[in-house]
Amino acid sequence: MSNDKIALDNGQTRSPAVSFAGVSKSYDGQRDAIANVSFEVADGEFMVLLGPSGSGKSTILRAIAGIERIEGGEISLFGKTVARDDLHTPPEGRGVSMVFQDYALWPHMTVVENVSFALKRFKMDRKSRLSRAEEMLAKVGLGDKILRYPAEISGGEQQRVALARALVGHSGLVLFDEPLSNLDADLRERLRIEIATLTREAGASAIYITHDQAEAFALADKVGVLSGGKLVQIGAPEEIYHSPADNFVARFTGLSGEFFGTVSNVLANGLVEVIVNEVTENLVARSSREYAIGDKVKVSIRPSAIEVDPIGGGVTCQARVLDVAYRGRGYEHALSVGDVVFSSVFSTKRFPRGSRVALSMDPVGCLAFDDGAIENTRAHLQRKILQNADESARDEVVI
Amino acid sequence: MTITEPKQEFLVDRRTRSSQKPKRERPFNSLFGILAAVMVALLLVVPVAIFLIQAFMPGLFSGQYPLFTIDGFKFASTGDSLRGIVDSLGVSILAGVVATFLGTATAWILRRTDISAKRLWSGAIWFLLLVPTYLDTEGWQRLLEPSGVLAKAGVNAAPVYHVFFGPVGVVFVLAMTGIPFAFLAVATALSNLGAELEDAARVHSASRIESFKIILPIVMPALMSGFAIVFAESMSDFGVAYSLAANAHFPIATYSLFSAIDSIPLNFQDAAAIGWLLVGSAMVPILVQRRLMRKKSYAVVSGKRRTVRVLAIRGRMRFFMYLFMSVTFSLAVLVPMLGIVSASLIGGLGTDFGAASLTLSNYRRVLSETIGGSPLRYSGLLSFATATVTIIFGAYLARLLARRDQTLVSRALDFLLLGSIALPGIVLGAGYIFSYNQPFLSDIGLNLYGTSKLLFLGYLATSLPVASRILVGPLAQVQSNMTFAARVHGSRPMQAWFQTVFPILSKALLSAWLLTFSKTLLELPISQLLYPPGLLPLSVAINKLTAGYDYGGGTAMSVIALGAALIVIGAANGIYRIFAPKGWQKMGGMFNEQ
Repeated sequence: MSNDKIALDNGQTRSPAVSFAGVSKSYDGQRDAIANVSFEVADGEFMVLLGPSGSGKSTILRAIAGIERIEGGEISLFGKTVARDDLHTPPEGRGVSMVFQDYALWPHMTVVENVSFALKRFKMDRKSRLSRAEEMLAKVGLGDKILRYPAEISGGEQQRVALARALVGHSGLVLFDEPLSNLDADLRERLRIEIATLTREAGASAIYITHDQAEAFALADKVGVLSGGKLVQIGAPEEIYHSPADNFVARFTGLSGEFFGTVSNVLANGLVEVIVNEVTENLVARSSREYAIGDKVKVSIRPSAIEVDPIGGGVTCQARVLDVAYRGRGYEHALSVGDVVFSSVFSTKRFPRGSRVALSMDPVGCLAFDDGAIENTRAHLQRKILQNADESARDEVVI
Repeated sequence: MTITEPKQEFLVDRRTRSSQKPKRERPFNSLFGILAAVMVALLLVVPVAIFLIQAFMPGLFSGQYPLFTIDGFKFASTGDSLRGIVDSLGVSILAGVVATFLGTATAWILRRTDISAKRLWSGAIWFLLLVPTYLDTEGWQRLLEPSGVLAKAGVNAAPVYHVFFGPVGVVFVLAMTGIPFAFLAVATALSNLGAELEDAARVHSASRIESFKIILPIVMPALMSGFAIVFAESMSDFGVAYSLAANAHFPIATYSLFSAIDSIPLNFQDAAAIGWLLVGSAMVPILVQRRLMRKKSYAVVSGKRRTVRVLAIRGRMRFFMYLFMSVTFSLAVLVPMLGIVSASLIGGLGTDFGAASLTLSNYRRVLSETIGGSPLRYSGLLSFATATVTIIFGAYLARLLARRDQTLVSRALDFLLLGSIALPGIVLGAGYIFSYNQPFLSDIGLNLYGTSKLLFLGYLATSLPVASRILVGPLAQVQSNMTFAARVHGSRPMQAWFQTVFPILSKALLSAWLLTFSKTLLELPISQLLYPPGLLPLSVAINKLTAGYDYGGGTAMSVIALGAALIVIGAANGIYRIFAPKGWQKMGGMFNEQ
C-alpha cells in the first residue's frame, strides 16, 4: 500500500487521489508502452497528460482505470493500492469514472439510461437513479433529450452524455481519454469549458489526456508531458511553457521556429547571447544549463516572443513574409529568416506577402538547448568534470 | 439510498471502499480458448481426419486391409468417380458464375436504387437461404415431370423437363439457391461504398462506364468472395445430387461418396479418396479468397461512414429492373414453391391413373400416419437443441475470433472454422459413421453410433462454423470500450457483457438462431447418414416418401416442414418485438435494417 500523504494546512495528511509509482507496461513483451513512470494527482487536482500518439498516455489512463494490467510499479487510488505486478483490482472495483475517446455510449439505452447506469453500483432504486441522471443531463444542457438514443443526437451531445455519465456518480476520480478529439474546433472550445467547470464543481480529481497543448494548458492544474513512454516533465502549465525541460517539451508545447547558432557571450540570470551567422544580432536566450562561449546551441523560439516591426529598435533579425492569415483579432504570419521558417507570428498589423520586416525576439520566449553536436557534449562533460573536481577540492578545504 | 450533498462527499461504492482485498483476475480466457479448440477438434477435425486417412491407410483400424495403399485414389480418379468430380467442378463453376451475377445485380438493385417493396425482396432472399436444394428440385420436378402438376393441368411441359432433368437442372437449382450467398457478400460491400468514390471519378472527367471501371476493382473482392462461397456450397451440396442428378444418371461427387458408404460392402477407402478431392475442391477457393481479401483491404472497409447514394431509376430502365427481379425470384422461389404446394394438393400425382383432383388427403395422411407427426416433432426438437447450443458456443467462438489480440489458439480456430464452412456435409457424416462405429468405442462404453446424440453432434458440427462466422461480424463491430465503460462504472465482467454486448447483439443472435434452426430442420446429408433406426428426421422422411413415388405425401410433408420453419421464425420475431426493450430493437440484425 502506498504511504504517500499530502500535508494539509491544518497539519493533517491526506492520501493523493492517484499515486502512480514507477509503473511499467509493455505490449507483446517487447515494446515498452510506458517505462518507470511516476507522478501523483492531489485530491481535487486536474492533471493533464500531454503527448504525441504512441507516447503512452492512453496506457497510463487505462492502467489507472484497470483496463490494462501493469508489469511493474504500483498504482494507488485514494491511498488504496489497486495495481502492482502481482495484484490487479478489476475496473469495477476501483470506483472511478471515465469519458472515452469514442464516447462508448451504449446504443440500446436512452440518454438517461446511459447516465443512470453509472449509479447502479450505489444500489440506488431506479427512480432515484433516473432522477439524478436527469438532473445531471439538465446541467449539461440535455434536459430535453433524455429519452433519445445515442444515434439520435449529435456528436457534441453524445460527448455531453459521456461527460454526464462520468460526473453523475461523484466518483472522486474522473478519467478523460482525449474526449474532444473527434469534435470540430468550435465545439471543442465550448465543451472544454464545460468539462473544466463541471469537473471542478463536482470537486473530483481528474486525469485528462490529450495531444493538444492549448487544450492541456487551458484545462490543467498540472501538466505531465510524455514522450516514448516516459514522463519527460511535470509541472504547472506556466512552468512547462516557460521552462521546458528539453527541446522535445519546448517543441510539443508550441514553437514558432528554431535557430542553430553559437554562444557568443554568457550573461547574468542564465541568459546567453547567441550568434547565428549572417542572420541575427542581439539574440539573447534563456539557457537550460550552463554554456560557455563557443558552444553550439539550438534556440527554440515561442511565437509569443517574436515582435514584427518593433517600435524603438532592438532588432534581432530581418525576415521575409511568406504567408499571412487573418485570425479575427489580428494576423498570423509565416516568415523566413535565412533558411529557417517561423510560423504563427502574430501581429495586429497585416504585412503583405513578399515584404521584408524587422523582428525582435524577447529572451523570455527564446530557449537555448544543446544542438546535439558531439563536440558540445564533450565540452559540457569536461566542464562538468572540472566543476566536480573544484567542488570536491572546496569540500576538502571545509573539512 | 439517500443522497445528500455531492460536493467532496463522494458516493460510496460498497465494493470499492470495503475492506475486501483486491482480487487477482484469473487467466480463464486462454483456458476457455483451449477448451473451445479441443471441442471443435473433437466435433470436426478428429472424425473427418480419421475418415480421410482411410483413403491411403485403410488398415489403420482393421487388419482386413493393407496399412498403406493408394488404390482409393486410383478408384477416385477413374470411371464414374472421376466423372463425378469433373461434373461437380463444372456445375459448381457455372452455378458460381450465374449466382454471382444474379446476386450482384440483386444487391445493387436493393442497395443502390429506389425499387419499391425492399422488405419483400429481402424476405424472398431470406426464404431462399432457408430452402434446401432438394426441396427446390422437388418443386420443379413435380411441376414439370410427365404426370406432374402441369401435365395434370393439360400443359405439355415435357420438352422443358427433358432439359431440366440433367446437368442444366443441376446448375439451375444450384445457381438459384446460391443467390443469397452472393447477395450477402456483395451487398455489404455496396452498402459501404460511398457515392463520393463515383463522384470523384466523374468530377475528374470519367464517363459513367469509366467510373464503373474504377468502382469495379473496389467491389471485386466481394464478387470473388461471393463466387467462392457459391462454388464451395455447390461442390458440397448433396440435396440436388441425391434428388435430381442421381436419377438423371448425371454423376456428382457427393453422390459418388454417398454410394460408396450406403451400399454393402461399405467402402470407406474409396469414399475417403473422393472426400479428399471434394474437400480440396471446396476449401481451396475459400482459402484463396480469404487470402485475397486480406491483401485487398480497400477503403470500403474504412471506419469512415459513407453515405450510400440511392439512384432513382425511371422510364424503361425501371420496367426492366422490376422485370429482372420478378423473373429471378419467380424462378428461384415462387415457381418451385408453387410446384410443391400444388403437388401437395393433388391426389394421385405421378401416376397416369385418374383425373387430377384437389384434395387435402395428402396432408391428412402424412399427419396421421406415424411417418407424419413424428419426423416433424423429432427434427423440431433436435433443431431447437442444435440451434441453442450452436448459438451459445458459436457466440463464444466468435468472441475469440473477433478479438484483435489474436493468439495462436484463436488463429488456429479461425482457420479451422473457415475451412469447415466448405466441408461437405456428406464428408462430415461419413467421418462420423466411420469414427463412431469403431469397436473400441463400444469397449470403453461410448455407444453413440446409431443414436440421436450422434445426429445432434453431427448437426452441431455442421452449424457451428457457419454460426460462429456469422456472429464474428456483429461482435467485431462492438467496441471493446462498451464493456470497459460498463466495468469502469461498476459492472462485473459477465454482468457488463449482458448489460452492453448482449442487447446490441440480440437481434443478430436471434437471426443466427433462426437460421440454424431452419437449416437443421431441413438438413439432408447428415440426417441421411446418421439417423437412428426407427426415428426419421424430416428430410429423410420427405425423400423416403418421394423415393416411394408418394409425391403427394412428400410434397405435403415438405410444405409442413417449410411452414413449421416459417411459423417458428414468425413467432420468434413476434415475441422479440413484443418483449425486447425498444433500444434492443434499434440494433442491427444479420441483414441490417433490410
